[in-house]
Amino acid sequence: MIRPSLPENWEELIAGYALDDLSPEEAETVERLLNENPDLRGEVNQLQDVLDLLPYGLPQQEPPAHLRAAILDAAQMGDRPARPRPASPQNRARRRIWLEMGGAVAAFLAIALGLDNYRLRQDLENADAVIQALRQPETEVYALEGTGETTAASGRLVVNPNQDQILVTVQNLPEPPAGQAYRLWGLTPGSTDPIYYGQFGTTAQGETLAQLSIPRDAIPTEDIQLLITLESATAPPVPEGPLVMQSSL
Amino acid sequence: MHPDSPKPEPSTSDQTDTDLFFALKAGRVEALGALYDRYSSLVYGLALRVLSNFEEAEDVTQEIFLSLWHKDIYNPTRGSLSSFLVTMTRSRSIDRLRSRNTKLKFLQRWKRISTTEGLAANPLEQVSMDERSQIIREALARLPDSERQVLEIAYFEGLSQSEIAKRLDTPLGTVKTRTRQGLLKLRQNLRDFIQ
Repeated sequence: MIRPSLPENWEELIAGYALDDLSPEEAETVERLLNENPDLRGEVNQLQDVLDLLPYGLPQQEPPAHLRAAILDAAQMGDRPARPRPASPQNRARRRIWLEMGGAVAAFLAIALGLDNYRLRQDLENADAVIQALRQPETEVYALEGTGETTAASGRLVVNPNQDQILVTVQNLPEPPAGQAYRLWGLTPGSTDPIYYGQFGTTAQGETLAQLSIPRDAIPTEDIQLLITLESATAPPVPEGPLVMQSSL
Repeated sequence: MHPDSPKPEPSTSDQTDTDLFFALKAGRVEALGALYDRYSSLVYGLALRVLSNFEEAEDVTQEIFLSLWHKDIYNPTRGSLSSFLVTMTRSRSIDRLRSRNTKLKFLQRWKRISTTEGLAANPLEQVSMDERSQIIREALARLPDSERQVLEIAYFEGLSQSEIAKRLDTPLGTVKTRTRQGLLKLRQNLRDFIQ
């Protein structure tokens, strides 16, 4: 499979690619090599597989005995394994509470969504569309959590599968630098192309309440991994910046 | 367990990962327990190596196994469960550790999770965890120390080559060459066990 057109150091370059340590020039060379010699992708995959064998070389470490019971208990206390399913009776009950609260729904929502900010609550009271969305029995709420340097961030995504609007609320996510914005993406299982849902900023207090319009056929579901990155506000919708939040496991 | 649960399956320890995974997806918590017994030390050991913190390693272990239960994130037709768990655990652990690199390159890691063909058909998947460990340790022991060291730092700590160079006070070019050569040699040492 090795072709005369390959540079002498092609194996090292491929290894660097698997290790993700190429310089920009090297990366360009490798991209070209991979385009010209698609079978080299097998080499990359194999080297990545070899890397993922490294954990087997670690000293044997048994987790503490209590962890097994804790995990099994948590699994049983939560709901059933993920699968496409109608809203559970429990969720329906929760939503009914919202409906019955009438005028108090916005304040309740603010608490339910983890917001603790008077101004935002005021905003929410005006967010008729949101309240309307929440009155639909199909509405789902997904939790978002901060990663890396923004571990303190938390948020919720409110989705009504019958509407092409979703609502993002976030707390403790620093205001993006000038020219930058946070972008929300969804990754379906087995896909490598993230769906772009839209972008938003946060206040100096690190909060936001953003409504994003999304295509009907791209409405987030339970299976989709939600990701929020910090990007240039004018860049094409391809994620390149750091991951700041993701949907909770 | 519900009183109306179906009758017990054969001993879970004899079942394949895929059987157990489907049993888990059918809501059988004992299948989750069996997978935990099989892979918890791999997941926990890796998380602990990356994070150097017992509590956080426990958290990651819990997240990983509960995500198998709660979320539809693993597809058995795309690769082995063990390689999925390794990729996921490393990714999650490094995310937690992250504070030095601004570029997370998470998509590359997600891409890796979702596209890995895995080693499902490889001899390594057919042997016990203990045997796997022994094979990998022997292959690693045959690498020059300098190459093994940089390879392990790059993999377990997610440091960039220039960060490794700084830490080891070694020229960047040397670090790159050692890491890449180390990986290529490791593959060579494992050639009988991978495709």
